[in-house]
Amino acid sequence: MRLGRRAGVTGDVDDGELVRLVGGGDRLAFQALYRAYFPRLARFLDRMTRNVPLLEEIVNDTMLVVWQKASSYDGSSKVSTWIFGIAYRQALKALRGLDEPLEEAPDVAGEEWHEPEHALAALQLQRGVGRALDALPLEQRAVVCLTYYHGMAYQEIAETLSCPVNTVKTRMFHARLRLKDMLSEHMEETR
Amino acid sequence: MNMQDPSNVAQHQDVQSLLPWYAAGSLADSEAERVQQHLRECPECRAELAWQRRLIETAAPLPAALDQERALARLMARLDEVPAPLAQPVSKPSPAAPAPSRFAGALLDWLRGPGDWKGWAIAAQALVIVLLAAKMLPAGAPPDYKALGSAPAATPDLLVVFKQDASVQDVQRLLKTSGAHLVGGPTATGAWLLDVEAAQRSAVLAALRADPAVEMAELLAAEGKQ
Repeated sequence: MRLGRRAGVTGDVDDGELVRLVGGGDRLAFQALYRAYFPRLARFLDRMTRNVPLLEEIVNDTMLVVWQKASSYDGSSKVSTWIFGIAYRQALKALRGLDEPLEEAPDVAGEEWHEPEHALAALQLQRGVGRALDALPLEQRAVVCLTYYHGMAYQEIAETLSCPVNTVKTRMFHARLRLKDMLSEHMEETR
Repeated sequence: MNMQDPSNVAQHQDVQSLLPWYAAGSLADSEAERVQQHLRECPECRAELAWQRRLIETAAPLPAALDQERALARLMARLDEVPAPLAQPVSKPSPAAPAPSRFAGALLDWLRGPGDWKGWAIAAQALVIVLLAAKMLPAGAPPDYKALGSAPAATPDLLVVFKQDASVQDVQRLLKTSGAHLVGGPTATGAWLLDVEAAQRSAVLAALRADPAVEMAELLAAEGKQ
């Protein structure tokens, strides 16, 4: 499923054309670009912070930079790579500055025993995965999230995060080991 | 597969490192084929693939409290506070403009400054005023009221934020004289969405901006709607 459907205000204008218009100060094009990217950026950043107002602010900081820099976008990378790269740097800045402690999602296992067993297992797995991802270092989390939940190729992730391809693979490798370790009890049945 | 053979071990490790992107469907064809071939003879990689696919399927839903239109309304107000993008002729691809580095630094400082959440307080106030105003509209007047967060089927034309001290009469008068219909809102920043006849749009926008009861008015509609 494509999450970032445009809100029907620009027809079939592609992202590159939108950015070009934004570079010329076109506010309508900017709003269309914003609506196209909000859900995707929110999903990406949701793995970086649990704080909804902060998440929206990081999206806005990102899109403000897009507004400011659109005229210097040269098309050498995909629009999504460019925008996600800005979002990643904004997130690092915001979160490092805050040094926000990773909140543990409330452990509700005890309260929800009355739920049907399979629903409970699915919910627990979802929470377990969320917690495990939250426990990864930011750099690893970004790689995992862009790979699994944004369908980005590793070359594109390298470009987005401004790091070598091998670094992407190495981060993924370490992230997988840690996830496996943390999720061993949730995911046993697939082995 | 014979794991004593060093070339098999190398191939296994290579495929292991590619599996996340294979599971997510983002590998180039040639690499995907290589992975497929290896999967046929390697139970360990098949199990690993199943594990990764399970992980992908458990994507948690986005927090329900996220509100795209509210966030956008906040950002549109901020655009007015920063200088417009370097005006480039839109007709030709722009050569990379020299980055205004000092300005960018100042912008970042500003972005990282203390959060500006006073909008939230104003929002509460505006909410009360405009809810009252909405009640006073003639029955059936709001043509197609959309709560924010629902699908943006009807694109509102204008976004307006009333001043904190705007009275019910002010709001009522504005809606009546402009011929605008209230079709959505409030966003958490107190912005309301108005529907205006295409021909009246710029006149209404100018009138709203000039009105002392209006904090901010912004054009939202697409050209295509005209």
